[in-house]
Amino acid sequence: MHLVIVEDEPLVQQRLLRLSKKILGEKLLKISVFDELNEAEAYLDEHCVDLLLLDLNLQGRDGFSLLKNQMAASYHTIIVSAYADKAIDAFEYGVLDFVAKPFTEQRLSAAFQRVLESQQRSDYGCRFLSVKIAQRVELVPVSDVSFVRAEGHYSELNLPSVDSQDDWKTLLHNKSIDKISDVLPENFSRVHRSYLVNMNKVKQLSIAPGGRYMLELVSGHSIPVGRTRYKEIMEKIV
Amino acid sequence: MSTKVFHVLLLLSLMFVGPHVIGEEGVYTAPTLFVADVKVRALEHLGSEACADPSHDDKDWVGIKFSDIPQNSSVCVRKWFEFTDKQVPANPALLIGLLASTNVYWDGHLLLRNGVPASTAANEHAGSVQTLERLPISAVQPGRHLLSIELSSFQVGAKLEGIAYVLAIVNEKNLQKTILSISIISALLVGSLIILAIFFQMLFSLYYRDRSFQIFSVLCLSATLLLIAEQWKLWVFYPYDWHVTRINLVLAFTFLTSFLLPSFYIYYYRGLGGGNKLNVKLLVLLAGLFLAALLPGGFDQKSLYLFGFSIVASLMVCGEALIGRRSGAGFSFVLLALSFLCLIQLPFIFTEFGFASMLALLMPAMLINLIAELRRNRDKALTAERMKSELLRRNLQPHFLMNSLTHLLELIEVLPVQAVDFVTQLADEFRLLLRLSNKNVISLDDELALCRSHLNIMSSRYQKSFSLNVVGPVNQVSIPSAILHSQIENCFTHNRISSDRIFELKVVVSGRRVNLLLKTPTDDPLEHESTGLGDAYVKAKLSETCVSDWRFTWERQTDEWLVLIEYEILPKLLIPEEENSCT
Repeated sequence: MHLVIVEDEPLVQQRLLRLSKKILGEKLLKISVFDELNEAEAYLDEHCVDLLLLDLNLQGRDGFSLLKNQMAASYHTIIVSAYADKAIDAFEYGVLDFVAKPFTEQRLSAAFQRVLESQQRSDYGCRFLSVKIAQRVELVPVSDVSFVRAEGHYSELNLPSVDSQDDWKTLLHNKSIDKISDVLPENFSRVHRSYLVNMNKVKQLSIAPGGRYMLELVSGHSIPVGRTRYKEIMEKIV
Repeated sequence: MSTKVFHVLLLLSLMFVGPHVIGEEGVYTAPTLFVADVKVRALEHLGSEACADPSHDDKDWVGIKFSDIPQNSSVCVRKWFEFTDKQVPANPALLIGLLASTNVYWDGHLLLRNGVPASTAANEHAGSVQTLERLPISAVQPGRHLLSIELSSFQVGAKLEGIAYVLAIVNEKNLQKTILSISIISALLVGSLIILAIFFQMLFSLYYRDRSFQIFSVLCLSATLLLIAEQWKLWVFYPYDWHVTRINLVLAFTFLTSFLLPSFYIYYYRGLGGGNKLNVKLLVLLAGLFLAALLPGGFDQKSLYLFGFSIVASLMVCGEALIGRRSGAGFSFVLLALSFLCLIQLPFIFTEFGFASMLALLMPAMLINLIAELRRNRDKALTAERMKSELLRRNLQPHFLMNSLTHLLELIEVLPVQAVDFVTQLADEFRLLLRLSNKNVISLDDELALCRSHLNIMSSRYQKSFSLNVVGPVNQVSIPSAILHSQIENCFTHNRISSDRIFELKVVVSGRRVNLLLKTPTDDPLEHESTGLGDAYVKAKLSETCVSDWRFTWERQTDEWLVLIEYEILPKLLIPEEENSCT
């Protein structure tokens, strides 16, 4: 795992570093430490990072606008903050975990487990997905998204268009479908290796010629269902 | 007091009970019959029998106005009435307002004895100032009738403009009704003024020691006494030799009331620290009232001058307050202006009731202002209370507390010895905060100790050396609690300081005025962060504890943040010297 730590107090920095090494052991391939997010940005852009441990002052608007930008990135972010009361807001933006200060080794270890065991969802599903469109980062309400399709290392969000010109739009997200799956709320099901579906938007389950199972969406799309996942999906629909 | 007053009262009686109707007995109720002209002759040339005798010829008597009956004389006054069918009054009664002892005859028969008239002051027994005697039906039959009054007026006691106020045949029922209505109005006014006086005195002594409340209380009391002295004549027919005493009392209370009304406004709208101006205004007012009292004219005129001057002075004070946008000044101004109009238009009604009514009307304005005042005080107290807890709360805020605790966790696990030091530093800061949080103003020594304690903790946390240099006098300087501390704290909340830095404080003291220049370092030359919470705290603290011309400004230089605080602690909040030395 390639870990980046952003924290401005020396001993807290040292604590994150020390405990991360201890918890992750050999799994930790590389670790970089920064005092501030500004300083870390260039590094994050140029390196393939797996996880960011971020100390963010979430008191006020600035902290959340930084957080919003962070959420569009390909890596997961875990917030380490003194402002425990902002945890739920942070989850809504799509952080994988929120570690309140002061923290113990056990708590940090639990946070790392979420990253390592991909199937473990965050405590609260996010309400928004940050998507980089041109130079801007936009928040897309998760409830609008019908389904997510894997697109190499990226994911393609499929949702109705708000503009009248097209009735459908796709947005490319930097996170992989696995990582997005970690932070999405429970109504999103992984119906296929390459598809995540918002079960609220499903019309019916049907069998296509050749015995393949397909999920018909309200929008008219047909999504293939993986053989191994058919039973689970069937139960969810009934 | 004067004929005019009685005319007014009787006119009121006409308005109230409408005498122009056929009475119960079918007798035409004629309007009140005022007597303006009479015939008069000195008694020493006449004798009392001739005065009363209708057959005695009075063609060669002198005709004068009733109100011109001379003072200190013994005369016979005569008036012939000629009643037709339609002129016979209902419930006829003879009303005489006269500062004299009288024997009154009707058609030669004795109708009334009021005191004992005599040719010398020594033999005279003073009669009542006013008499109302019912006339028998036989006395007002159609035809000619003679009213003769044998009078002496040696005991008035002072030279007056006139001693004869009213002579009239009135409808007794109507007059009594009028007197009753007027008495009710007076009683209501007296009652409400007394309640106001008690209320504002209590307010002053038990709740809020604002001098203007006490003045208003005395003003109400004075107006009450004035009203009672004025209306006394309606309730008690006292001997006429008391009359001068009564009108002197009326004049004295008029003077007092006229002085108190503008004084009340002067105090009520006094500015901060305007002590001398206050005395000057009061002196000018007093001088003006004395001049008004010395103006030529009778008692009524003098009363009018005094009231007039009083209202004009009050108008000026309220006008000034109005320009200064003081609350409630508008209402008072309008009310005073209306009163002034009333004074000019209906001068004698005003002297009777106007002043007291005006005060009663002032009551809602006073109460509204009072409630607003109470509200402001409550808010002030709440703010002060909030500031106290704010100081503690800011040190329990997550950024400071949780980061310190995380720092401490790491120390415990890795460097336990340093952990002990750090806990001690935290304890020092919290102990100081607890001790200082319930004080509005502390010594600069204590404030600096608090700042240094905070810098110690921050030095530990950032593994840097932060220190505070102080230039200038520190002893005997007082400061609103924790305002420098809040600025230093801000510096860490909003900036990142990545090297060893020195904070500088320059103290300049001139008299009670303190000038503080605090330089705090900043490493982010581009980012501009408002001072936020600390900013509001400093402002609230300064306005709570300092004379209103305090200043709080800041400016940023390349790597420094300059905070300038200039203030003068309110004298009552200054720390006594012996306390100042303890740290």
